[in-house]
Amino acid sequence: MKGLCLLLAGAAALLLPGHGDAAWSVGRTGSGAIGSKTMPTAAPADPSGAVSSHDVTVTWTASQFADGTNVPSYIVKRYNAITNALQTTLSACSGNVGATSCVEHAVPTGSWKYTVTPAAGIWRGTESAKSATVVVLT
Amino acid sequence: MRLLPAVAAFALAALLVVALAQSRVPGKAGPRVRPALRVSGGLRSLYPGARKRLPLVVWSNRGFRIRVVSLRVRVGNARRGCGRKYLRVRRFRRRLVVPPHGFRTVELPVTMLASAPDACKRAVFPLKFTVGGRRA
Repeated sequence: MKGLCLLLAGAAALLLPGHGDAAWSVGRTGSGAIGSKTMPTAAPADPSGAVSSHDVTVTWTASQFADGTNVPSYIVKRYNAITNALQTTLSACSGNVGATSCVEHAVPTGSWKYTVTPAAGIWRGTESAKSATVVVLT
Repeated sequence: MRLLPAVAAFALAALLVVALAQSRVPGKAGPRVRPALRVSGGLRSLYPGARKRLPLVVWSNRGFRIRVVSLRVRVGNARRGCGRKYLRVRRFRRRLVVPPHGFRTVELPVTMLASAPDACKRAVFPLKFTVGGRRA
């Protein structure tokens, strides 16, 4: 009889949920969310260029996301001012430029126009209007 | 006296049934126990290449200090073409003790990959938190 009672008590302790695990909390205990931005729809102001020999310093104003923070980078493009043909942008204005100015080195002789496009990773904003013509002499 | 073994067997069987039912349908059988820890938090300013800190608040509704031993963030897909693979949330790896009936904040580094496509613009990634703690 005594053994039987002990057996029952042991089984109850093992099988029924006790309060000893109240200090533990493992399970889905909350939720939240991470939201992302989008690129600004407005095009940035057209950039300006300043020539020094065959180096062209391109400068532009920053673009902002909707929450007012600056876009992290820009794509700088150079066009032939006469034919409008897109040229290969040279260092240090190639790729994603993380500033609001860059100096393109060893620019060939000719007449050029520049644009900037806001960029974040592979996201792209609206390309700016073309700059005034920049003339690089021999 | 002969009846006793039968009663004991019946009681044991009843215990088994109750225990099985509670293990299979959590929350439906028996009184609902509030979890000791609760987590909330979020962020809404990511873009490709961005590295931010995800602020989380861990709340305790128990009258003793609880040491957080695990905190897991499960990221869900935002929408078609913008899966959770574009988001990286660093694991929780620090000591955190939540005071009785209080809260503690923790920040986890989060990154949106630079390869996140246009489908991830104005996207919302749902988060599910799983936290484990033990009496400190």
